Amino acid sequence: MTEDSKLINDVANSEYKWGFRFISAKKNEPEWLLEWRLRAFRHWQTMTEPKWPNVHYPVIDFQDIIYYSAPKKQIVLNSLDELDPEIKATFDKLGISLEEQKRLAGVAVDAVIDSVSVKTTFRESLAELGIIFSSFSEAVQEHPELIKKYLGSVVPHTDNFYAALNSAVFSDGSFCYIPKGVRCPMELSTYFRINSAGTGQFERTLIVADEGSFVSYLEGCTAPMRDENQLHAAVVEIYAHTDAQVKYSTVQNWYPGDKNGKGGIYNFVTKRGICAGNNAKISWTQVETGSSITWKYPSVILKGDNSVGEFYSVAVTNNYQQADTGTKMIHLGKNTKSTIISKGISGGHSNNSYRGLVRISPQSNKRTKFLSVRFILARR
Amino acid sequence: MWRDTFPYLEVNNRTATVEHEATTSKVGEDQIFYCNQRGISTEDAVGLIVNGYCKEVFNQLPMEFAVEAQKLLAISLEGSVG
Amino acid sequence: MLTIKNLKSRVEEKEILQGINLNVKPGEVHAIMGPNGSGKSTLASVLAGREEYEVTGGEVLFNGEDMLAMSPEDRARKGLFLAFQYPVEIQGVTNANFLKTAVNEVRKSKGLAPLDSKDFLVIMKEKMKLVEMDKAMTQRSVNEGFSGGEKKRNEVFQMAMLEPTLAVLDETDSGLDIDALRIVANGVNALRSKERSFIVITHYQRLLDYIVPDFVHVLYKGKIVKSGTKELALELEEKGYDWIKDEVDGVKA
Repeated sequence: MTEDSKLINDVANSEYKWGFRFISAKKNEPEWLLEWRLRAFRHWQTMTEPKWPNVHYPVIDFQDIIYYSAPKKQIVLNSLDELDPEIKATFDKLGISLEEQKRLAGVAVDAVIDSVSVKTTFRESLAELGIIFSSFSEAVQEHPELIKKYLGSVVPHTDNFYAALNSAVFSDGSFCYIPKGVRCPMELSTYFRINSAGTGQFERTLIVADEGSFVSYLEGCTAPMRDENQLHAAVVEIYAHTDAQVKYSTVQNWYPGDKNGKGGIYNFVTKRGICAGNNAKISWTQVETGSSITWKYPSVILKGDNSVGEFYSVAVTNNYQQADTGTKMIHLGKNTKSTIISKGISGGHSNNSYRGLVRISPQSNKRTKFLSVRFILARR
Repeated sequence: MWRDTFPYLEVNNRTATVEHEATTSKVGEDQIFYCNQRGISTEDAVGLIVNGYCKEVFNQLPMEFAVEAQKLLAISLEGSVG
Repeated sequence: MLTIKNLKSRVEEKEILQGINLNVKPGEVHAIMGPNGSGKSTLASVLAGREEYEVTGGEVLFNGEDMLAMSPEDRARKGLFLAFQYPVEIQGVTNANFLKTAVNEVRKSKGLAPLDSKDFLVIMKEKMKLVEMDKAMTQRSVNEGFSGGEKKRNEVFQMAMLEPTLAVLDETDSGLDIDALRIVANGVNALRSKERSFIVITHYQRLLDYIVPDFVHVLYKGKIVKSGTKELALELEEKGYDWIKDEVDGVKA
């Protein structure tokens, strides 16, 4: 559990149930961010939970604090022998090194093999190019002007039920800024980010690619992730300026629940990018195999002329998993182009839907698009 | 088991080109049998077929991620065949 | 090699095979001919172990073992190969990758170490010559977008790679022009040996000009009604199947 979620936990358990002022103060957030959170919260209170996704789950009591806090301490294992044999077997099948397994499983590692130094080197070489890659809360302290400018610029706090909730209570996340004309020389992976490997319940990711820049960003990990929190509602925003390209890849393998579907994670994510300038390109690639319920529609707003949006997706569901995923491509600029390749694979009693929207506005004149949705079912 | 597609198209422009293809298919008994006849077990056959099916998406992933994603897919489908 | 005794099979309540008897010795080539719907392809499918074909009677011994009790993959691993009448397409899986998986599965079942990529390529290159296949074809997805002739050549190429002891060719000549037929037949002939047997299923005698059989059997209404040597095929070519039908149906009447 991160410091931040602990904070939220504490606050939530205190009598001031939604203690935003307190969280914000503890995190030393600027006044405008607190205001932003409060605006989002007030708006969220007016909203109702969406019922349109083709997924089914018990009613979530959002006042019940357990949904947005980590109630248990992370268990620290003394060695891999203490790890659940089922998880250990999966690690082995994936070919994950022993050191990496220890890190993922939360085994205490000694200072020598800890990868902190690797991360520091990594960060220094990025800094030389002017690339900012840090946790969200660090960025709030160090680059408040950037956060203020871009936070909510792609996914406003009013966007949808879960995005509004996230905007109100987000604990931490990642921030990435690529300056003008810089091609990020390595894949940026959340794995290398300085803060903990644990994934927050209400994560916020903001990626800004300035004019003519390029970045390939990796989220997630193929190793099975377990988390005490059942509901996850992250928000990812990508802002691409003129001639910028952002490639965002996700491999998500959260705990899907047992064979009867019990105990899995609900993953309700809002991911959106905007090609704000001309010739910008945003590409989403996702491989989704985990979670008991996935609800996710990475989208691109093609505002700049000649901008390009891409969506490549594989969603696998098995046993009692449910997935309702797809994309939205909003064509506003002239000559904009989008490609959608979505593959769903379902086995067992699972439920796998594709939901997509392609909107072409009257003012944009010429564009080509290709939409391909296909499903394949594993034999039973 | 449900699988549905809800592709919404809002085209407010006559010059737009939209190609749309939506198909639902089963990992074919024919494909599995073909693999079996070449000595490949059903489980391996499903892995092979499904990975082939997803190749154009995996090709978009960075190399390392793609390899891991393939293995992950095989693990996720364990027990779904037979 | 292969002994089929009184084999009966049905598909969806319909009796197709009504008691097949056949004995194939090592190195022999048996042609099975017959009019449409006589059960030729059913016989191939039953031998390969297709689930939809229910065996209702009889037995099949493959090198002394009860073949009907084996899974399709075990039959393949023990040396049975079926060249499909309609080879199946597998999107996104290269021919080379597919074959490497298959070859190594067969090797594994024999307790042999898997071939590494280099050795595999060497062998593949050699076998490609048999069916005049170019390298590009090995990098294309299995049968995807292949012409009819390419698909059949690919079947024979796979056969060459897997080195079966018994190969069943199910209407391998269908849909082939004369050049493709010659290439496919040459490939098959190159694979003939004292140890390897073939069952060649065909509607037309034409293929048998190229692949000369030791025996010819006529299948009609799910039974082998006539057996002979290659001259029988010529007779059928000349006279058609009607006289056989008359003979059989006449007897019944």
